Amino acid sequence: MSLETPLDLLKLNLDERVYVKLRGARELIGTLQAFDSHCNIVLSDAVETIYQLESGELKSTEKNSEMIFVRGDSVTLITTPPDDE
Amino acid sequence: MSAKGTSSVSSQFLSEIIGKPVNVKLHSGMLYSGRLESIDGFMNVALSKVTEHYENGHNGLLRNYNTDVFLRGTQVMYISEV
Amino acid sequence: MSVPEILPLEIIDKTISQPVWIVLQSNREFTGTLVGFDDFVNVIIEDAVEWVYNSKFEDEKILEHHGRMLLSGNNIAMLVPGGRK
Repeated sequence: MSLETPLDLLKLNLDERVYVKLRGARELIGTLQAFDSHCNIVLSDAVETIYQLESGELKSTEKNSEMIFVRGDSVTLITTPPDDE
Repeated sequence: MSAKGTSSVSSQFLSEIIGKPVNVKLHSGMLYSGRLESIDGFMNVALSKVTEHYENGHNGLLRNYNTDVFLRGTQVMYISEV
Repeated sequence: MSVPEILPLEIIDKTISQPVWIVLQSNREFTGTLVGFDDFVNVIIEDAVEWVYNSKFEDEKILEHHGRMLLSGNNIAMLVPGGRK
């Protein structure tokens, strides 16, 4: 199927698990409940992973949310989660 | 692609490169290479068969995306033909 | 107050098909041939070379692009006709 606009791609992902890359080495995986043209999004059953460098070593922490709103500003990329989610 | 005017050079360029392989760099320096599936007047981009590098291909592959990837227009620095 | 005799973009218009040096608001620069631009000063350049001015005050070549590039006008600080000197 050919997509008319990039935002149509998000429409196809409604109610599906998505991977969202945010600014500042953060990423989210959750079920896409809603989005708008600013890329404000709502995810349910979400896991947020935050990557940090601690004395040269890459560390990550995770936060779980039943429902989370993400302001479009911080979104950089949206796709389906990796197979090993 | 009408959001930036129908006769502008940018929209003509964009319609010419749909379906072609492109490089898209974000302000973060992340470089995404893949096939351009679609694009709108806000520079939102959909790519398929995507590889992710930092700055250029000499820095090792960070990731392969097997499904279509949406990139947010406000984060896009450039789109270039490959 | 007098009306300017030459609009800034008229100068850029005269640069089309000539070498141009583009400086972003960050430490990134592009050189190439100016193909065109739109009202938002999104710019199309051909055979662009992408540079980063690094912390050692050196111009570091990041990528050589072949073909055309649409550079978002969003972060463009300067367009210099004639290319980089």
